[in-house]
Amino acid sequence: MNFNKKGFLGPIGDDLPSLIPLLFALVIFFSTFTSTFNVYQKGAATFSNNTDVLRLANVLKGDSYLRDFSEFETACNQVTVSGISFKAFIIPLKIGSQNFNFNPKELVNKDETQILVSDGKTETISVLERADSSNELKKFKCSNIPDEENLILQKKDIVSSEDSLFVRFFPIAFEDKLKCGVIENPHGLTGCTKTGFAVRPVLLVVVAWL
Amino acid sequence: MALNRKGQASVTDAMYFLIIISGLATLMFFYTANYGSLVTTQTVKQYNTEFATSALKTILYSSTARDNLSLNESEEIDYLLAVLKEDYAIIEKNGSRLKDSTKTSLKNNIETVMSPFQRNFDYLYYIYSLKKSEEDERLLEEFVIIFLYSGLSVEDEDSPGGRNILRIGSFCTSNESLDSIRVNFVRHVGEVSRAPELSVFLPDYTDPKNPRNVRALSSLLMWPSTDIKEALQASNLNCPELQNLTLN
Repeated sequence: MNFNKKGFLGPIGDDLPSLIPLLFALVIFFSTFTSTFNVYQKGAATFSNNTDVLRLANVLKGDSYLRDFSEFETACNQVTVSGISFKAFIIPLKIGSQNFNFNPKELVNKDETQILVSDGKTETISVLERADSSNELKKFKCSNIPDEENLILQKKDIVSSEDSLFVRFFPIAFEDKLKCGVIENPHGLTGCTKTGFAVRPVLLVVVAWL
Repeated sequence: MALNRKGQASVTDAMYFLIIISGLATLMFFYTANYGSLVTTQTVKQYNTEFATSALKTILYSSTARDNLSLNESEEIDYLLAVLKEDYAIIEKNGSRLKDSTKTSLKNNIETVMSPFQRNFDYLYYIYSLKKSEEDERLLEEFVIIFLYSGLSVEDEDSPGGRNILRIGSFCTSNESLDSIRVNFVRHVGEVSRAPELSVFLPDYTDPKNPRNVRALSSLLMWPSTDIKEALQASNLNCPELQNLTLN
């Protein structure tokens, strides 16, 4: 019998009390690490999605000067984003209007919405529509959603998940062809009152969701 | 004797380990808390800068009617920048570089372009000429135009706290340099998103025998709405319409 080993319970038994703070520390470390990692992943995903939305908006707005529908259509075909559903459209801006308050989500499912202008009055704004090179009226909208049916399915998600919804506005200068008004002059001849174009400010609205 | 202390030493080691881990966990917690806000700030800043850049280009590209009618009714439509250049070329009799009609068109245009952000953001648009002296090539820098949309805190019995911030768009003047505005104004308005400065060439016919092009810089700054009083004082910006708000 060795009396010098009075309290000795063996290699593990002797270190048992020290294992408690050790395990506690490991639990704290791994739970904090997991939580930090998740927050980082979520932040990185948000940042990446935001960057994607900005990138697709940059493709659509080009140099912030839009000449006609075909230019918009070409830009729309060049947009490549994955993991994000989006719908982008151009709406006119009324010169002199200071207040601009509307719900862009409404424009996702229909092509017009109510806009709150000054003094609580509302006006209807619609997606910009102009004739293309073949004189056919086209709406300035672009989306990576294949068909309307799909959009209806995703409508629920758009409304419910505010966290994963991105709405971005970008002003663009739009080269609007002036309509040729026919007048009759005193000599009985007809002619055009105007030719050329006016560059108007319009608004590119990008609504994207995960 | 030494054997009897073996267990106590390992408990002390474990306690040290726990303290180190607690420190690390605290650091990670603070990192997590800051990372979220950092990402949000960076994302918002990136978007605001993109918006300001788009807005600046749109303002510079836009058309205006020369006959003060709407664009749909007008028979004479030109680029707003062309009209502005035309005004700048010759100094008016009252010493002004720009006609009132041009200023009104510019104001309407800027406010329209900025309307999606106007509810929550203030902004400043400027054109700053980098004119050089004929004699000694000295820079005669001056602001051609400064348009500020912002507000001042005024007494308002109907508002909570008895004060309210009234915001309007106003043309301003300044004898200070662009650098001074950048430093003294920006410092007082908080987090500013700024469009990159674009070069504009303005024709100068003040000396008819020696017409020349003057290089100017144009930019747009925007920031979350705030009381502009301190920034105006610090930067010596003179905005009569805005400053009259406190008197009325």
